Amino acid sequence: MRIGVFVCQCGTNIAGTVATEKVAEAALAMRDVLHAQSIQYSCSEPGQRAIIEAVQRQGLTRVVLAACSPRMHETTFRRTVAQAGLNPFMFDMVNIREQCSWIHTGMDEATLKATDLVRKGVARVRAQQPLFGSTMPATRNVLVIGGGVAGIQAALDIADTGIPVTLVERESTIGGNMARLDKTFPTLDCSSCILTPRMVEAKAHDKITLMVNTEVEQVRGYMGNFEIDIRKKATCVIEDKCTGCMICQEKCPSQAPDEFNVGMGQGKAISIPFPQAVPLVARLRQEHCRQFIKGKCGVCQKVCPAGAIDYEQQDEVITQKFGAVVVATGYDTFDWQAAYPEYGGGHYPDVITSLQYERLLSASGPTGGQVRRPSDGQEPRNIVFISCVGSRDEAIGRPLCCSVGCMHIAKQAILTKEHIPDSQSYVFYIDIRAGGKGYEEFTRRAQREFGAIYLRGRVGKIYPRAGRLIVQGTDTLAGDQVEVEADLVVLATGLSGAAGADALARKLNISYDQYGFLTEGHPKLRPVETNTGGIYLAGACQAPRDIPDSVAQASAAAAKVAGLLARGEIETSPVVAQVDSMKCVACFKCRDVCPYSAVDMEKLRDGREVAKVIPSLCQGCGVCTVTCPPGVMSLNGFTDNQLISEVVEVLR
Amino acid sequence: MSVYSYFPGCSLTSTAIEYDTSFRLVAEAFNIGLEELQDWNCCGASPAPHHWGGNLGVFLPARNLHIAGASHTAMVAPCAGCYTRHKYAQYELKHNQELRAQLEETLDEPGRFDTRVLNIVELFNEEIDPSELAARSAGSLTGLRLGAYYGCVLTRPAHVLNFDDPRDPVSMELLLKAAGAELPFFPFKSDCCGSYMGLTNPDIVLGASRRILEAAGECGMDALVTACPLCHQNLDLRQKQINKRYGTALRMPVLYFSQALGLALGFSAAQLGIDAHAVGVGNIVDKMRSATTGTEAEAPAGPAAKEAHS
Repeated sequence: MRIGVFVCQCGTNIAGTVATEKVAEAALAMRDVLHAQSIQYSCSEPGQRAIIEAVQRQGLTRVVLAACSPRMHETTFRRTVAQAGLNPFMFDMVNIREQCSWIHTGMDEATLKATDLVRKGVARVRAQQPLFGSTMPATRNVLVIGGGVAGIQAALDIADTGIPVTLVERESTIGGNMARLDKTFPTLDCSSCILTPRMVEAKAHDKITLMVNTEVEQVRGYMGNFEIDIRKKATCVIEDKCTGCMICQEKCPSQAPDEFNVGMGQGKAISIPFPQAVPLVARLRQEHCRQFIKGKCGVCQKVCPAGAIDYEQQDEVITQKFGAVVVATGYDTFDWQAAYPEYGGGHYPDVITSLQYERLLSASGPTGGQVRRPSDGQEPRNIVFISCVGSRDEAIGRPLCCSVGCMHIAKQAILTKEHIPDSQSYVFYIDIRAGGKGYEEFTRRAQREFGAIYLRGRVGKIYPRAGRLIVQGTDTLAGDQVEVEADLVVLATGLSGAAGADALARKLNISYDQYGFLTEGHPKLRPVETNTGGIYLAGACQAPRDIPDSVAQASAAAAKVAGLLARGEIETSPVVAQVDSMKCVACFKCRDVCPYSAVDMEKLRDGREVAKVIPSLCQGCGVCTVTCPPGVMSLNGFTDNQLISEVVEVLR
Repeated sequence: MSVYSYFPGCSLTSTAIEYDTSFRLVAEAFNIGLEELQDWNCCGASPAPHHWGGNLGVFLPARNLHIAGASHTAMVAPCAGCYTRHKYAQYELKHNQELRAQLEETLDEPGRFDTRVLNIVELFNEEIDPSELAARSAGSLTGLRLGAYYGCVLTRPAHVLNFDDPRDPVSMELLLKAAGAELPFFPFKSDCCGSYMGLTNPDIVLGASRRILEAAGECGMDALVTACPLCHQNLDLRQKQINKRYGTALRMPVLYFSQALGLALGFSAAQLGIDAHAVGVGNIVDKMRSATTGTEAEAPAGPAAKEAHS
């Protein structure tokens, strides 16, 4: 056995606290270590070459590298070792940076600890066996969850590579929140003019299967071979027959909340959310429908010229195989009412959110693009915008920035002036965050050309006086208290992950934060991946972001998916569990605890039934190995032997 | 029967004597025992902590806590100022061991500072079951629109007081609603009335209290309900001054929380000392009377009356 030890200096990251030369020197005295050296930057090209040369020159058979966290570069160095001609698993990476040099200050202690850690690594690599991964076929079929602008973009980009895509959307139309917007910043493009063609394209694409009124029910399998149950909810409308004529909606006697217009209009139990909906098919909501509540009505069935209404329709669960999943579930605006009693907590009809205001500005909105305030339908003169409602507010536990508020306030202030020329907009802000291309110029235009008055400070209270709302706040630049008489107050509410994104994340086995945003693999280097192989993120489901960023991330996710499925097969990790079937007592506790359903039953020749690991399903988590009562389940690369000898060395 | 040590403080023995009277009446009605603290001293009010400096603002209430601690596990201080001062002293003595040691050396014995201190709203919420109040009052406040006004100190600072939500407290509403009153959203419920600035800069008080009273009018309140003698003084006693100063015509009755509950239980305005207020409460009593008469004429049961008049 010929072991080589390499101690990385990582510039001063490690060498500043750990005497790497001394660690290398100490390593030379360890059993079976033939070669040891300190390297300035082991991950650099010369660093990797030094490792390869040492292996080849000295005929090393195993390698220990003391450097940063294996999470960072283990894959890199396995490749290096393989290039040198060794099995890539005859290698151990010891973390002397995050777990040693960065957290200690004394050179002597840190050097001593680094030496101990290296001794541990040497013990472990001594007990290492060569491991071989294999490949398995991957399903060339992709599921995109969420039909907003990010989901549409990802679906189109993937489909354009020739890979089939199923795009699922839980609402009755795709388009997401972008379909609700009137114009977009900073160009003032009409939102639906740029979105609608993409929606139509997604529906028409021969590689895209579009499924609305649909949610992911259950997820089994793993990267390359997911098996997913999709529930298509009953809408009482036969999709193929509905022509989108909207007669049902017109005649429907049951009122229902108008979710597309965010409560600004009055909806019907059967409806098409907006005229450009894709697909242009009605949906009936049973919880608001007289036919279902009172047991009789049937108006829509009578008036439908296409015979598309079917009250007996049932939910349908479809199971399909997918090689990869793109999650594009978007955002919801923060439910501000309980958190902000000082803004009336929802008691004033004329305090609305910016998404609601968007519907009042939109020509296809409930007021036909005439700005009318909810309380009395009057056109407002003074409009006050309040930024950071549910953002940048530690008092309510939401320190995050919504990243779009400053911009959509500027946009809405401009649009307000265009709609009502003699209006005056006031904007209460904390800072103006306008980092994107053309954004800063846009917020300036809102002030200079469109006369919006910007007041830097928070609003402390809104209260009624003589039919108007008094907005009381501070102007921190003038050092003054200000009161503005408003006819309409628009709150730029913060963003959270879409409702239900957390439940979906649990089904997909990916993580999410306290705001419901899904967690990327690495904040800088793996922004569209998740920590579960084969599952990718696109758009505002990951963090608050605007349209251009969502679209860019969607295309990035599509590229990742295409890369994964391009070869048609996927390499599997050999770090999986193994049963010693001769010693297995067939208690199947391993099967009970396995989170990946990777343990099966196997019948031996002698008729005994024992546990068996399916390598392609096993993720190498190790839960079964510690559960197994006789201790006959072991994890490749993490055998009891290896772990015990590591401990023995540390305690020596 | 639970028995509380009762710290009246200076206000409840002088300018707010009707607060004391009504508090005792309601407490007795619900079988809540009150034993006035022996040999109590001033809580320090605003001058001790804010103007004299040093530790007087802690030591004065600490002496009261130490006396109460000998005999009671809980002490009620109906004045919001007294309540806050005692809670604050308790907080200081818990977190500042040096100060505690200094005080214990003076006392020459271990301090008994941990007696639970409650305000009147807290006490009534713990001791009075809303359904019992609903039954005993028979919804007699039905038809009244009341503005629950907490002022600034009853809930603040939150980390010291740990009482209700400082931005949107609801404790008074819970009981007043049980007695049938309507409690519309009141945006000024935890605003400052101007507090003790009445002594040094009355204009601040007049301005701040005016906003509160005007908003109450805007919200269609029949009366405001408070649990602080100083708030009461600024809102009720100074209402005439406000009208004079700003040329307004405000006439907003201001009740103590205990008076509102007392009215609900059927005590007369005179019994509760409401007739001593600067702004008369005739409109409230009339409204209640007409509701009661209506009830007798139409249906005897409380809930039915509610339906008929809401």
